[in-house]
Amino acid sequence: MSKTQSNALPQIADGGEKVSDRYLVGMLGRFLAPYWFQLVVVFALLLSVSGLTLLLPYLIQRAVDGPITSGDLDGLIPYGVVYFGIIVLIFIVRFGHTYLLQTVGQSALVDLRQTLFEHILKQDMRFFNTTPVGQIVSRMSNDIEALTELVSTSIVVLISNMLTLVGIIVVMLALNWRLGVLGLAVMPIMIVATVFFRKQIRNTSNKYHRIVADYLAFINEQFSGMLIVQLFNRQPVSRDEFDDINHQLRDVHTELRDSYTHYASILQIMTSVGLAVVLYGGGQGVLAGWATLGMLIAFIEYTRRSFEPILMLSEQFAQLQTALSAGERIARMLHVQPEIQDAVNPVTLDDKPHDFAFDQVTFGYDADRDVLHDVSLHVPAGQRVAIVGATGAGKTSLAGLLARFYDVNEGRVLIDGVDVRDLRLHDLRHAVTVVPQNPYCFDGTIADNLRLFDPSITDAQMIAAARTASAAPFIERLPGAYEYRLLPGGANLSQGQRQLLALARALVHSPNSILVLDEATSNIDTETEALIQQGLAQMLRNRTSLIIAHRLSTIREADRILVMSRGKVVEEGKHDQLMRRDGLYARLYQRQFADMTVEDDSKENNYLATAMD
Amino acid sequence: MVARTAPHQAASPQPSSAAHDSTASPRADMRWLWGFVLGHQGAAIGSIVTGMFGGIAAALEPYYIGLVIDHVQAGAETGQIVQDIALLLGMGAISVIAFFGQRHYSGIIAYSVVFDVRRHLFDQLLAFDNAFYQRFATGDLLSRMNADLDMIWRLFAISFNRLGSAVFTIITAFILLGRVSLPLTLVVFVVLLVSTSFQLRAGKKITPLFERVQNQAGALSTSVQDAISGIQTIKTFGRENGVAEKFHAENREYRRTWLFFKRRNEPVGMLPNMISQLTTGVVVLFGGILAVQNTLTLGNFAQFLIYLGLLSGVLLNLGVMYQRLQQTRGALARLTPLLQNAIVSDEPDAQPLDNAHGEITFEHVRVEMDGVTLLHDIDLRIPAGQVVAFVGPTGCGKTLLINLLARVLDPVEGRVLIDGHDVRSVKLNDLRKSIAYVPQSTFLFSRTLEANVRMGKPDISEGELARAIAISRINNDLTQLPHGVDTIVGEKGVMLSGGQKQRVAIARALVREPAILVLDDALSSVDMHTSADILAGLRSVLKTRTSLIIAHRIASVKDADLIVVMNEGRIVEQGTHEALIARAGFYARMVERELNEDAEHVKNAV
Repeated sequence: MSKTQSNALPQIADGGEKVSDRYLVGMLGRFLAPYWFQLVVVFALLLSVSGLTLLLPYLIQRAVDGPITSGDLDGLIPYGVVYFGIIVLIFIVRFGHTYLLQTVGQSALVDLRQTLFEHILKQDMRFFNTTPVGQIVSRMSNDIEALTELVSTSIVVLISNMLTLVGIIVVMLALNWRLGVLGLAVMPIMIVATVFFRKQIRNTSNKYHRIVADYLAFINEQFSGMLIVQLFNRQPVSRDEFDDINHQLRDVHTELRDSYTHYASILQIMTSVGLAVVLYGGGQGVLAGWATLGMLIAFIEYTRRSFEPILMLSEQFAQLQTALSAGERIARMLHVQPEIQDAVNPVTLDDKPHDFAFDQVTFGYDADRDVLHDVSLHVPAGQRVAIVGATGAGKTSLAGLLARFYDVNEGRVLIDGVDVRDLRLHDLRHAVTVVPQNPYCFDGTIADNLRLFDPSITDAQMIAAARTASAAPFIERLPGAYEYRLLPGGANLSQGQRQLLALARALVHSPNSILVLDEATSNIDTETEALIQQGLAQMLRNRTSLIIAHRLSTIREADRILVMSRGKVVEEGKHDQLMRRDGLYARLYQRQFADMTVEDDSKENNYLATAMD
Repeated sequence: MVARTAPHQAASPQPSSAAHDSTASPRADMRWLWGFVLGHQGAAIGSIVTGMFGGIAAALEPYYIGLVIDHVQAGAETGQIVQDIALLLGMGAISVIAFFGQRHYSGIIAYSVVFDVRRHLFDQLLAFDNAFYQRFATGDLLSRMNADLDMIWRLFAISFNRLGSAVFTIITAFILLGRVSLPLTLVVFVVLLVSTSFQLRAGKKITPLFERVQNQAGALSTSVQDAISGIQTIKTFGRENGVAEKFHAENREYRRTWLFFKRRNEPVGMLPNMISQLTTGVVVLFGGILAVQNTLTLGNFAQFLIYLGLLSGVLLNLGVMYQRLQQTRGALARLTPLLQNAIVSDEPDAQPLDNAHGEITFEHVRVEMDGVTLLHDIDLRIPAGQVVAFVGPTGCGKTLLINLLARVLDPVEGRVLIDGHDVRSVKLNDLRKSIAYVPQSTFLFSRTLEANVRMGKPDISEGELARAIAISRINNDLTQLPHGVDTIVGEKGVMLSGGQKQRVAIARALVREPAILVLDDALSSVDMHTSADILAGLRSVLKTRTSLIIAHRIASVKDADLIVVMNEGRIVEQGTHEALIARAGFYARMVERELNEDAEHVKNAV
């Protein structure tokens, strides 16, 4: 097929310019916006937790300097009760905001995941040809998971610790500015360390994610090709390669942890030094009379608590970094726009057999290499056209253009006289059905595969279609019949059965469509093939069809035969006309026929699509 | 048996029912994991020793803070205070060094253990039989080998970092507190004990919930992979909305299980912190009373407060550890299937197999998968050097039978012999070296075309490579490829047509110069002329080899020395074309059908 040329293309989904942090925040904002009210409540709750927490050391100071110092037992009780009450309140509030935020976060991420999935579904085939499936799965799972962590946990930690930090600084300076200054003495050093290490941790974290992506790509390929790995004794090689990437994973992990260890050690030292400063200065203050003992005890608490937010924030670095790069990858994928866009002012088609035409079409998957040159053809409604030609002649490209999986470079593709670019994609694809040589089977039952997630299709419709397409006999022999569950890739059906299933599927969904059929070449046992022929005969009645033909019977029964060579239609006509013309078709046919008589008295050999190049 | 190509439901599959060895099937549980930790005893001991120092030093810090306050209250000399603070800083220094050591050693354990586990699992995966890969979708395996493995290092990174110091901090703190005020200490102790036991009980319920979340996550990725793999079909029928709706249901279900899990998990995690904060309240109240009565100094009062802060932090960490432990249990349950499947590996007394001739015997072979017998009592003898064709309806077991040769799967009963040796008694490496396979669905790796061919046999000369490329007729296509033999193919590279892929696969098989060549419908996407050329080339190279050809069209193999006709897992007939025709049985009917179909066209053509 002409796909051969299709992919020196860049990786659309992962290339492109870097997405700015602001764009990222904007994206998250867009998905969180519907929940603004809940978020305001969460913020208010966070604010009150911070405020309540700050009250605690203050209460202790008041208790120490008041009733405890003066020996007033009755005076102490209210302090104790209030202290207790605040703690209970803090927990109620904390549970409240956790609950709320997790619900909101999950809802927002369900929306994001859904949006991303639908966005991906909208992409054109060029995107899917150049983006590995694993990459898409990884966006949809790992990257969204990372954002989940951010939205459900990290944001709370970030905001509440920021608030607490600011609150502590304010309270300390307000209560006793001299002690406050002492308590905050080491803070600048901590901030400098934070800025320095943040950069380092960010870089290492990016490296880590690259290696994880490599790891996933590697095992994905290994699992897909395990049969080959085993049959060719490649296990030692696979093991070595795996070891290499496993080592890289371990090393980068260790590197990341080391950066953080160095940073956290500095914070720890500063915590001890900071406490020592408060104790020494405060002690002097008490002795000199500008501080009370209660104040000193409260400030020890405040100072300790002021380090906590920084430690907690620093623990979120890696997490935050993970989330940011995940968010960036998601944003980049959301940024990709399909080249195939829906028509702005769509024209509608009547629901009847359609005709179609190619008008001077030139097309190539790469800019510098055309697969089709100036192809013009017209197929009236109800006609059956067979295309023959060698591999790479451009046969499959015709199908791709008709269904608008790709757009032409020059010329027009018309259905009922309307340019396919002026039709809604949905309508167009209702009017054109492509059945590939090796149809895909979805995870699910036979019925799921016939209905294709469309619950409006009744059992009766489904079974009628299966009967018409001659798929019913084999389906009804399966245990559970239409409820028979398919293995991955439809591995428990033969290729012929999958084709029958695909024909029935086409019949259920698009009874009047132009049928584009890539005929299976072999892989099909004689019995199934007889069924396929029978099903096809039913389906092709009164239908416009374009068949990439491999079998003599199809070619001979076609109303018209197009012979393609190197991206051009070189001959066309009925079998007899083409034979009389004594051109390429006749030569091919004779050569084919000669093969049959010379080496094959069983008259096998129904391939015409042969040695043209 | 058809090679798998696409994803499938993530529902936890059953361990293989086929050909299980008699040893008790291993489970991935904490004991199993502990075996990996024992491999890094040095680091484990290091983390505990540094944890001990760190824990004690951390617990001593508040003691000196209290001392300073008491000295200040008593109006002591500055020198005394400075001395106290110096001791405090000393403790601080010890804790930092210990902190550093703990993180270092715990990092080693966490990443080394997960490194070892990952390697072990991958080794298993390399040895699993084909039945395993039919049951597990790639997306599901990826999620197990990634997200579930991550839980292991997450658990060890925190527990070896914090557990040692936590234990020693608690012990030291209680000793010091007990000396200050026994009643108050007892109150604190009892409260913390109750909260911890409560947490442990609640935590047990979390494991299955977490497993459910992970399973649903696996189902989501499987859905995505399925939809993307079949995207062209979806687009053809304009069913994007239907797929999106189906995904939406899964997506919402994921949110439901996740929130359900979190709503039970969060309170369990918060509990210890809450209890210790409440205890602080108790201390403020009763400690205050004791201070008022002058049975407790202000310094001691401050000590209690700080200790509670310390204990609260320690308990919070223990809570996190406990949560992770439960989650890791859930993750391990998902790793268990990666340990329990049938492994194809060398028997202990495996013999070398040199220069195999290619004589093949199947003796009473029976194959079963998931309780269904797929091959019944197969008996077949193939002399070396013959060309044998296997024909029969799709699904009759042709590929499965051939797969037994290279032991991609082992039979439940009976034996497969090569040159008279049971394939299970020879070295797997030698066995597979003597067979070259061109499987039904061709898989190429994302490397250069040349590297893919060399995969057959890495040490071939340029000449041998060129010959393989010539015989398989890829050389015709090389000019079309951007970098010739150096073009990257596979998923990340240039997309080749079905026929091109098959020809690369043939070259890959050819360079092995095997005793047995297997062509499993290997030329289905190659046009007739080219395939005739290829077959002629192969015949000249492999004159003395045994060739097994699985074919769907009988005509292409009627010249074979032996034709084996299979149906529904049994050999129904065997013999030469002529003999089988004369027999007028199953084979003759197949031929007749084929003839009827083609005869008409040829009649018209003449």
